[in-house]
Amino acid sequence: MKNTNKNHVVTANTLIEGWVVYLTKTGNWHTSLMEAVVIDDLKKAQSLLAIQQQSDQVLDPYLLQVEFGVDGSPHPTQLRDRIRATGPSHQSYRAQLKEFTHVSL
Amino acid sequence: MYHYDEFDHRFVRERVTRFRNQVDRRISGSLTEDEFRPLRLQNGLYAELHAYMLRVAIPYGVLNSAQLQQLAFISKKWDRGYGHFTTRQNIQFNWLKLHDAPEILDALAKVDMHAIQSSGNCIRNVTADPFAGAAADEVADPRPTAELIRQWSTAHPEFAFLPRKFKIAVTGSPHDRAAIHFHDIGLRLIRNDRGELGYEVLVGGGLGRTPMIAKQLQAFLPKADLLPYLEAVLHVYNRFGRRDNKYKARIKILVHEEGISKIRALVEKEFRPYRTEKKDALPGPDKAPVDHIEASFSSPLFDEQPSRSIRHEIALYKHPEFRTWVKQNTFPHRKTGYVIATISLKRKGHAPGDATAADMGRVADLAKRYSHDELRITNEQNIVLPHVRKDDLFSVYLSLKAGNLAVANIGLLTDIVACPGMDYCSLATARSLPIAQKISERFTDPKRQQLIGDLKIKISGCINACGHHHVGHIGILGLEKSGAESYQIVLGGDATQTAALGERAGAGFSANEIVSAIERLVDTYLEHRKNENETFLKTYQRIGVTIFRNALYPTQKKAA
Repeated sequence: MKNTNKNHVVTANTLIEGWVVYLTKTGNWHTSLMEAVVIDDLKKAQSLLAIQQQSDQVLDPYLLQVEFGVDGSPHPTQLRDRIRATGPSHQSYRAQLKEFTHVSL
Repeated sequence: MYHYDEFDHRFVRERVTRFRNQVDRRISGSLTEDEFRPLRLQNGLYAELHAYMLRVAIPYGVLNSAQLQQLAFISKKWDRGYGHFTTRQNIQFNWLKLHDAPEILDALAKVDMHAIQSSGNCIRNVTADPFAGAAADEVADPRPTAELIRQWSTAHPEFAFLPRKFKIAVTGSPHDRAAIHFHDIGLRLIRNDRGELGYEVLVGGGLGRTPMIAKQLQAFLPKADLLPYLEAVLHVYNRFGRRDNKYKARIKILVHEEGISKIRALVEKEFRPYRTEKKDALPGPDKAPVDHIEASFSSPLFDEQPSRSIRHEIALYKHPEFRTWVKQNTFPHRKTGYVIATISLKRKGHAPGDATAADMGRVADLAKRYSHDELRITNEQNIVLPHVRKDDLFSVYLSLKAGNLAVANIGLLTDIVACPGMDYCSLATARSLPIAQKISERFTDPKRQQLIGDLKIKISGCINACGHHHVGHIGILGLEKSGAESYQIVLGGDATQTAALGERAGAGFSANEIVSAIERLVDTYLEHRKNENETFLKTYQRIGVTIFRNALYPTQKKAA
């Protein structure tokens, strides 16, 4: 599908934990999408991605498309990216999350 | 069961040490991800949506209680306190960290387990009938064959880089519970007219994007010829299998394109030197290791039991829920006074195939106490206690009930098979688990399930078909269409000895529509079945797809 949406975030998974992370304004990685830098220039987003693709500290970086909610926060447009951002969507996941807090999400 | 000898121990320990070193080098930056990826995959470690996932091989689905306890321990110490049993009789841990992986492999090695051959283009972990060694209908126990293949194939240099992955399944019963028609090679232990043991050999089956039913390569292969013959098949595949296109690289495509006669001739040519000379033209197994393997699977020391158990019958009489569970979840054992008990991992509110550490601990204790320390994992994501005395069955049931594990739904509509789908898997195009849970909720009433009877629903979250949707009586394939999930239905699949591939019903349904679509199919079945003994599959085979299509797409019916 042609990438026409103009708002992008660079995302990847951390090398050690495999956690989902987003590139921030300061060039660091953060586990919350709320902390991500949203780039409205596709070329700039692609060049930031190209830099991160050279990094050995994250796995499989790519650009995800976001749109802004009424509260101004970024939301992924694709379901897969929403699941990456908020965790598995099935019922038992929340119960598992309550019990085990030593992993991400 | 088979216990590692010194060679196995040394091999697995060395492999763990090597992987520990590789992980250290990756973390220090001396290995790139491109260099490291094939190494971690060779050790079962995948990078998935939210974290690393380790797929642990459970050889032919067989565990003892110490092994299941160790899996529970791993889930608590390094994961989120649960594991997911898969359609290949393995277990996956979804929330692991890279630097913990060597420790986990070390913990597995302590109980004769590993994660080798659970990924990559090699001969994968062999699967087998989950009732192996216990089933009343068994001609011969398939586990020694599966173990022999495991030992032969593990680290076999010739088969480490095949054109594509290669899956072998073995059954020893005429009733196929191992889906042998849907594997690269399917083996069925049989006896010939002289009473000699051998194999029917099938080749070229598989699911995925190009589903195929395996074809018969050999009607009867003498038992002693197995490894040379398998080696001949693998030679042919390694030489002629397509490497130019990964979607056409499985042996099923080779068999389809060349025809079974030509493949048989090629295999025979490879095999002939062994058959005519019976020497080292192809390596035949030495007898001593084979005898050792056979001895490892000698029958447990069963008690002599009467065919009727008064204790059991009183419990049946007094406890209707127990009666239902026995009817649905137990199966005939070859030894009088014993049964095979299947524990459902399809519970309300749980993901299909998921077991918590507490579940695993409880089941391991039950196996130790009541099932000669033996367990099996099924390719339908449940757990089997293979050898339970009828006298003990009510005690087993009460313990399962106390642990919310006494769901009486084996083979019923809510015994749904589902892959992890887009909630975890980086390959998936749609979610499977929430769909399974929604269907289970809609049909939650046990009486309604009993009324409907045998009905296998299988859900895959992408075309790779890990949820075996092609062989579900109702199969559901989750795809992505215009940015949204779309669920296609296939009807009439059958993974057993009467193998059939499901037929696509028509256009897909949204995640919100799919449960009602399934309900329309079920209602149509109930309306058209001859009587309550005619299963969904039998009714479908009798009346055909059109009536079900009309139920799924009523507006199209009107337009026509």
